[in-house]
Amino acid sequence: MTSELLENSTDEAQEFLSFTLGDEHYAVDIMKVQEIRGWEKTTKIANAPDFIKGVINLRGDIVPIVDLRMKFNVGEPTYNEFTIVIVLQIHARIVGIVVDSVSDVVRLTADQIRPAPEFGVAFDSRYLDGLASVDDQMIILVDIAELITSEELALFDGDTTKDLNTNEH
Amino acid sequence: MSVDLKQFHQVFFEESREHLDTMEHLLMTLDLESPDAEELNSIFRAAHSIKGGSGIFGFDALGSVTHVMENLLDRVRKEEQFPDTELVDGLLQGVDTLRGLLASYSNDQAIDWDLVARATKDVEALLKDSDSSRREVKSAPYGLYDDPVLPPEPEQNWGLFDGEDVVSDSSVSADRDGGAATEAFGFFEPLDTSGVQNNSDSGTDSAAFGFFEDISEASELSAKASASNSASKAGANATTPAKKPKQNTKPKTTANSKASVESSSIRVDVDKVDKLINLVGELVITQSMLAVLGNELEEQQAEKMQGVLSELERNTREIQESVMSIRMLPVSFVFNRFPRVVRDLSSKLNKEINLEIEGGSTELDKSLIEKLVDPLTHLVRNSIDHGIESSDVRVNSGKSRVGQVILSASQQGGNIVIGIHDDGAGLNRERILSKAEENGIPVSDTMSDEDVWNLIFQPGFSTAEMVTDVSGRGVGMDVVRRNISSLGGRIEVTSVAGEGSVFTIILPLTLAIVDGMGVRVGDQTYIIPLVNIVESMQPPANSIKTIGNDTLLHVRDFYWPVLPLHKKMNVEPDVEDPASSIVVLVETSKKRFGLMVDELAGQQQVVIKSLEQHYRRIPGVAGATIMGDGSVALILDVESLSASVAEPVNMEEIA
Repeated sequence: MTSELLENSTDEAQEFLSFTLGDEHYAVDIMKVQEIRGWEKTTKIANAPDFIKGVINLRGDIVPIVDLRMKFNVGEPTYNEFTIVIVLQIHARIVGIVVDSVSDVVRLTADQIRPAPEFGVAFDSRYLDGLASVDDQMIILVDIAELITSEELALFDGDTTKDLNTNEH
Repeated sequence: MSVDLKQFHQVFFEESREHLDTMEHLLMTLDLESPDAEELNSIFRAAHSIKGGSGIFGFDALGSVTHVMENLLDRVRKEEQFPDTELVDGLLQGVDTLRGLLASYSNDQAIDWDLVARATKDVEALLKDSDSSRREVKSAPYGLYDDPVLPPEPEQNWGLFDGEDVVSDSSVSADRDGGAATEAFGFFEPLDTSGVQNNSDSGTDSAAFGFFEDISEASELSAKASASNSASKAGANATTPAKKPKQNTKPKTTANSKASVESSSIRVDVDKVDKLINLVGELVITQSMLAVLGNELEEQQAEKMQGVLSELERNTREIQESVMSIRMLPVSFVFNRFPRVVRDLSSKLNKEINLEIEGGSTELDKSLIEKLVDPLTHLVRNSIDHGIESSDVRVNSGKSRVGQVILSASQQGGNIVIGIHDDGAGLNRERILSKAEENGIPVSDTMSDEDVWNLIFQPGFSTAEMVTDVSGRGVGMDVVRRNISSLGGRIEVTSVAGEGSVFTIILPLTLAIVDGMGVRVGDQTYIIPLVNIVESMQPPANSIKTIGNDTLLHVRDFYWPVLPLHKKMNVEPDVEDPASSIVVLVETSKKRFGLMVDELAGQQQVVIKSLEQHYRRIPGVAGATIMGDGSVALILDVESLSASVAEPVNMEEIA
């Protein structure tokens, strides 16, 4: 369906992977997506926020899993074989995000993307790249790299020196 | 014969670096009173090998410096000149120059010819110092390089490698203009073929490689091939001057033993090893999965299957262990450079210092070893420059004239601990405080010593009264700490005024295997490093005491504070009552305590995986590992867990 619609799109068309969280449709740059997996049991991490479900073994890498549904209070956080994990690769870091479902790959050109509103979606507008409408459906484009590396998610240690200084006394 | 010589450059650089290390090491340990002829020969051979290679590849700067060094060494070796401190110093400087040149060549940087000229002159000066006929010595054996005249018997010297003309031609032209690269290559291929011709069954490869390592070795091999050939005798002496047949036997035998050592190692790209390690990790997991499947089989097949599976398990484990060991290197790789550093610095600063090295065989991951060099050099320099007092001051304060610096390494639990210990004056609390104030760092006089010492890791902090070229620019300690923390380690300092200071670097054992005990709490499995474990027990109810909120376990006259792991790790345990749980008694360098868990899940070797690679550091956790079923288990960092345990309780206080 979308492919028909966007058949004549220009060269700078970019591909996005769209997924749902609750009732909202989101999409991320497909180049950041490494793979899509089913849910598997995680190893819990002590004293981490609830939305960090733990770590899994991804072919030898210890990869954290973040449940975006819990982070943004959308959808039902249930875990079964139909639960979807999108594995992202961002700056050599691998992170899995749990979403309600994965829908489609969409091609969007720059002129199809409109600026994001300041409010109205679960995501802070800092993490949004814009909005696009495909088949009369609004898709929210997420700046996933910005979100994953944000201090809000606290997935990574910040600057090492900074950390040391604060730990010191 | 147009072969790209460049493909051999890397090998040459690495070989040369090793030769330089050998030279340095031997020069450092050389007994000036009665120098060991064998050692002198080794030093000479190292220089000679570098010279030979540089000639072939057209690295003229390297060639010209090694050339004069070689002349000097040759004289020493023949007892025409006796080694003294000055000579050793000069040669060591030469080694440094060569290192620099080597780096320039390998990084494709421009060569500092002034430096080359200076270095050449410096070494030559050492030659001139002695009365004798330098000219003659210089030109006779190595006329090849300097003199247009060919050596007296070129065919016999080099003919081994193949057609006489090709070789002597190429060696000369390679020296003259450095451009006859392809011709110079005549060295390799003919060598190969001569090996084939003379020695059809074996040794062609090693002969070919031998050229890079040591000319004498190559010729040695070829010499064996045609033992009866008179030319081979001269060939075996390729490293020794042709005019000195008396010396034949000695270098020959050493070349032999050296050859056998060197041919037993190969160079492999680290990436390849890492890939192998990852694959073996996968293999181990697959093997465990198979083992689980094997248990579910029908009876008559099950028995056979079990036999095969246990075989597979044993093999996999062995593969894993040997693969893991490939990346590990003894820490002496870093430590061994310090005798030189200490020697240079102590003479520069006019201090008498004795360096002791302990635990050099402690193994550390190669990547860590490489990154340790800079911070360690900094710390050692600091200890010598700021720590150790001058001899007079030491004598006045009742210490021995000679300052002690101890470099030590050991494995403590999941960590490698490296210590730099000096018996100098210790850190100066007042000076650090006043300097901190100057720099606008908030301080108070009541700060604990520990906090004061930590101030020296602030950027731009130096209390040295004089900025010397050794240290004192204050760019040091913060960089040291940053380097160490980038390796996932930390640095601690303790100091006692007048008695000295100890810098302790605590590094994680990345990529290391740890022997651990699996423990289960609720639905989670954790690994406790075996080195921390004293014993595990189901505590008898009468040995459990409660003080306030703390539980204590009375075992063998000691009250062990008990830390419920489920609380620390925030998981739902099966049992909350210590009496029906299992308590693992653990011990760190500072504390002893018990960890309360649901049950033991068995002892096993686990591969430490970094959590920080894709996540962040977790307090109380040293890393993660992948269990047999493919799930992840966290490895506990007992040392940091101990921080949340109450101070050990004294028996008397309770009794």
